[in-house]
Amino acid sequence: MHVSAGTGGIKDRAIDWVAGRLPTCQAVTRIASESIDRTLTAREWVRKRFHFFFCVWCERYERQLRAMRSLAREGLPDVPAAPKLSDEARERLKRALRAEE
Amino acid sequence: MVPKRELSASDPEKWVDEHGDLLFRYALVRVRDASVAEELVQETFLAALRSRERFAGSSSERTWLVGILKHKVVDHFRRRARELPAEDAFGQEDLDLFQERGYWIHETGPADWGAGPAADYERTRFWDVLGHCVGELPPRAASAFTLRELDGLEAGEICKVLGVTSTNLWVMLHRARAHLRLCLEKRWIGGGGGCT
Repeated sequence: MHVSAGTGGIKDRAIDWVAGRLPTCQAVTRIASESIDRTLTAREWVRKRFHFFFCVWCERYERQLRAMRSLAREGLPDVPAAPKLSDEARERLKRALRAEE
Repeated sequence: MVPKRELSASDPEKWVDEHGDLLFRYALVRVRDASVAEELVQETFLAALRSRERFAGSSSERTWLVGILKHKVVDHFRRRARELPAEDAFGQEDLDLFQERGYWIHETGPADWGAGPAADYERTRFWDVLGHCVGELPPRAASAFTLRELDGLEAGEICKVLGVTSTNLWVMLHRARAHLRLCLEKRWIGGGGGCT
């Protein structure tokens, strides 16, 4: 350990020290993903919230993961263009059922 | 209501006309292969036929059939997981979004998706794109994502189905979501990314 020669050095190192302890976006996106699957530990929760306070991107990221989930769970809308069984497939299924009955 | 249910439960060929398309779509968005989806629908109808007496009529016929199909789909993923290599190989590109120090690079931060889709056509398009994007994932991660996000299975159950540890599962889901989010943003939202 050595004492810095000037205040600039201390300031730079103070910034590095703080930055080194803040979770990165890379780490927070992983916590965000796990937060929709399990209960976070208190430490993880604080790290995430604290990071979101500064980072609109990561907050948006988690919102988008939740949006993907809710769309996925709604299922495919029942519209006329939705995929259907072909006539042949329908016939194959009925034949299989007749054979089994 | 009850007599009607009994009537249709005793007429299996009508199942195909009344529920076939819905079951097919349910399977198709999960397995993303029309012939596999048809096979699962067939297995479902045959299983339903065999357990017809046990159908109590307490739920609708459709709910009952979807319940059987749901199990068939999980079985399909379980069988497939046994044939896969133990490790999923993910590409590196999803992680290249972050600078060396682990922060979003300015141009690659998540774009604003707006209010989200409400109209049917937008949701239909979501499914088209999602199917394509899930197809780009390593197979085990694709199964993990499908079981978790489409079917809402709990993590412990998915670990058993796929034969992975929970730590594996969290990593797989994280990487799958990172890829899918980006893929959807490029192909579905169509935004260039960056700040708003």
